[in-house]
Amino acid sequence: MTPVIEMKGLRMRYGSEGPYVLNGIDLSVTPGSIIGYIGPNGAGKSTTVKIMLGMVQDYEGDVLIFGENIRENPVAYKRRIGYVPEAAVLYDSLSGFEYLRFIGDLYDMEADDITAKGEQLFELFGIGDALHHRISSYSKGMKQKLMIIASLIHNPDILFFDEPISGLDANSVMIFKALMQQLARQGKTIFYSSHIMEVVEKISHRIVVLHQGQVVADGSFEMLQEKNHEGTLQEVFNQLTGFHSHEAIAASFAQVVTGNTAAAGTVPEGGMLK
Amino acid sequence: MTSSFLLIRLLNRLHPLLCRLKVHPEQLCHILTLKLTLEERKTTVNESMGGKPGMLKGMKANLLMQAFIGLLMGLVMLQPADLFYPAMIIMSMNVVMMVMYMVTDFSQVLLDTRDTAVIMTRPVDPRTMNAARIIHVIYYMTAMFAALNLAPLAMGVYRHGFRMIPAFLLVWLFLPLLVIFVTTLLYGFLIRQFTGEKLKDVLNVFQVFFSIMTVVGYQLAIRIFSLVDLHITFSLKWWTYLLPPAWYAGLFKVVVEGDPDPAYRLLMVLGMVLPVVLGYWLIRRLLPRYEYYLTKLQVEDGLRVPADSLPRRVQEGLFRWLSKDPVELAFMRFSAANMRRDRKLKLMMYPNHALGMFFPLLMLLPYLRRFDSLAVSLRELRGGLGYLSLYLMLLFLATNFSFLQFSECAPASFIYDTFPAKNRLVIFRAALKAYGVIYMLPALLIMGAVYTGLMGPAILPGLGVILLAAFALLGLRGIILQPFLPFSLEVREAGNRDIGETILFSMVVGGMSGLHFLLVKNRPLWALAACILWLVVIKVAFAHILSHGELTPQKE
Repeated sequence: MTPVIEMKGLRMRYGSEGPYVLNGIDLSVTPGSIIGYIGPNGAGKSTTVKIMLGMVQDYEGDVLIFGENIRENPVAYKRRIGYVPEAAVLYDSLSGFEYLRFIGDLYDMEADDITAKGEQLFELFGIGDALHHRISSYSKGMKQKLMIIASLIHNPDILFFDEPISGLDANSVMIFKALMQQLARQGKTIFYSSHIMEVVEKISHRIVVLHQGQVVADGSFEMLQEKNHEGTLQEVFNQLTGFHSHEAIAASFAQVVTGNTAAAGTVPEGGMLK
Repeated sequence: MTSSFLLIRLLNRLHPLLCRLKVHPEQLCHILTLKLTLEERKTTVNESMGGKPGMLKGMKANLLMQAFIGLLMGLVMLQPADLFYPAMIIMSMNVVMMVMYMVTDFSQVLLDTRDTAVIMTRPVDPRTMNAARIIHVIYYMTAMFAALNLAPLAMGVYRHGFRMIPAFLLVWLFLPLLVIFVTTLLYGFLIRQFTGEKLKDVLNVFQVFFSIMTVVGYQLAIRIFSLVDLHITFSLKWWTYLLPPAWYAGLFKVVVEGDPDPAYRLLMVLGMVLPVVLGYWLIRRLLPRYEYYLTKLQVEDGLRVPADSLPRRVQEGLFRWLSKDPVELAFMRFSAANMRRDRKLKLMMYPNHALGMFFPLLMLLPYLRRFDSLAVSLRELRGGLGYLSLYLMLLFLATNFSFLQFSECAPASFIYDTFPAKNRLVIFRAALKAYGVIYMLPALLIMGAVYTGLMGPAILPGLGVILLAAFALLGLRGIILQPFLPFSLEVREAGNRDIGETILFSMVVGGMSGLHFLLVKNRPLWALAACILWLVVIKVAFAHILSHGELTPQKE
């Protein structure tokens, strides 16, 4: 199958002297799969996603989406992608409907089409009443639902989700997880980046672990389990990123909280940063 | 597509041209409609604080205000002077007003990082996005120019004839572009050089600096008549060519009076060629990289707070001396850190603060012109009561304090609720004291030094009285007006000052300076008595704050 996303020797740094945040990433993604994209803070996850979305241009190497190099064709492919950013970035003084209308317009959608989809998707997510309210009056969960709807309204083929369930209640999370499986079955590709390992473990067809700007593991959850002789994704993750001292750090932390600062001596050298 | 926005209807007719420029016309209109809608819905500070809603909002209100300022500005046109002067003054004021808007309101347009996340991830060409950005700004600026110059144009036509019309039209075409291109290039340069928090700080300094320059320049411009003799004909110096307003004043001379002097022609050519050159450079060099530069605003690179310097230790010492208990000391440090680093707050405070320091000096100008030579005028000032103009600064200092209720991180003020303070007025009093140390004291010392230099040591007792009067006034601010929780309201727009508060304090300050003028003069013994009086007021007022009134309820 031809890959929908291909990264070749992707390197990136901010400014011409800074350290590389991405250090040669090669990755190829086939359609209809859910990719769990994980890594510690600062591993370069957001940067990779931003490059694929065309928000960052100063990278070395090549990124091909739908077989087209996005450096040469920086606009057309965006018609077929959707994105939920980590922070709910919205134009607050619009209503939810006005926002969707604007987004739909940018994709050249028909007005009736936008209206119908917006109304139904809002209704399905249980926030139908809020469609015409200002976004500034939305709760965090409602904003997140709006972001999800806005990323899907134009029926894209690739989806980039960055912590998409933050702020959603348990029921909505269940809807969303099931929705992702349905979308993957329709042949859509989902790039799911998150810190919640339990969710990534459950939903991903394939897991890519990023550490210090490099891919340190790539495969299905079962493959990672086997290779690293660990039970949960959490444990695999700890092993891959070389982190084993959480118990020791937590113990010292609890000691210091109660005023026993002498206990700080037992903190493993370098604390979290190994 | 029909739209209620004039600009959009206009652009709808320009589709072929836009396509030629490789800009997507429909998307352009969608983005601009969004921007104009957002503009329309901006709430003013007055409204958010429960003031009268409705009236005129956003841009329309702004334009009306501009037209009114234009009316005052236009009077310059009626002066019986060489056309170069009134033209130069009106052009200067235009530049000042526009630069003000570019660095305050429109910095948000130029530096909006939401666009990158929301719009650039959709199939929108960066060219279209940048075109939308620039057109939005140009639209606003040209509308503002029109509103501002309506009255000067009418009065110009009355005084100098109908050739004023083509002159204003030409300037209308070029001046807003010049201002926009220069500011955008400056922003572009800054965001190219710096990254992350450092970049935000540099931009803030740039904005504060420009706002101060413009408000102070504005005050100077409207008083220029008292400074120069308008009846002599203007002689061009080499540096005249460096002043943008002079370029357009030259244009007026050529177009309206048909002045054959090649110097004016050169000025006119400068004013017309430079915007075009800059615009070309901007579109070619800066705009293609603009989106990338903007992402640098979001880089989280960590910025160290500098270690203790001497002024910081002095501040700490004063805080310890002034605080009544550790809780108050903690809140004073907290207020100080916020006052120093809250960028939006600084953008509100600093220009007003600078204006407060500058105004007393402005009051001295008429004195300086009383005698033929400057040296004689200065000698006449020595030992006099001219320094009483400093009371005007006190008025600014006392009323500026109210800005402290705003913050760019207002929601963070929830900590006041979780904090186990018995009396939350402590927070208010701590802010008042910290403000006194960080804002008032340096301003008083600097201006005191300037005035001592100008007027001699004989005024020192009087300055002492003013110093204490300033803090007495701050204490009175604490007990007369309603207290508020500092840093708890969202910064919306360049803050409107509360007129009622200003009037009330004008009277108090008037009383204080009257007392000084009638009784104290420069007599040391009387000065001592006044100092004792103000010390008592300070003591009583600050002690009373904690038992005074209710805090303004916090609003969402």
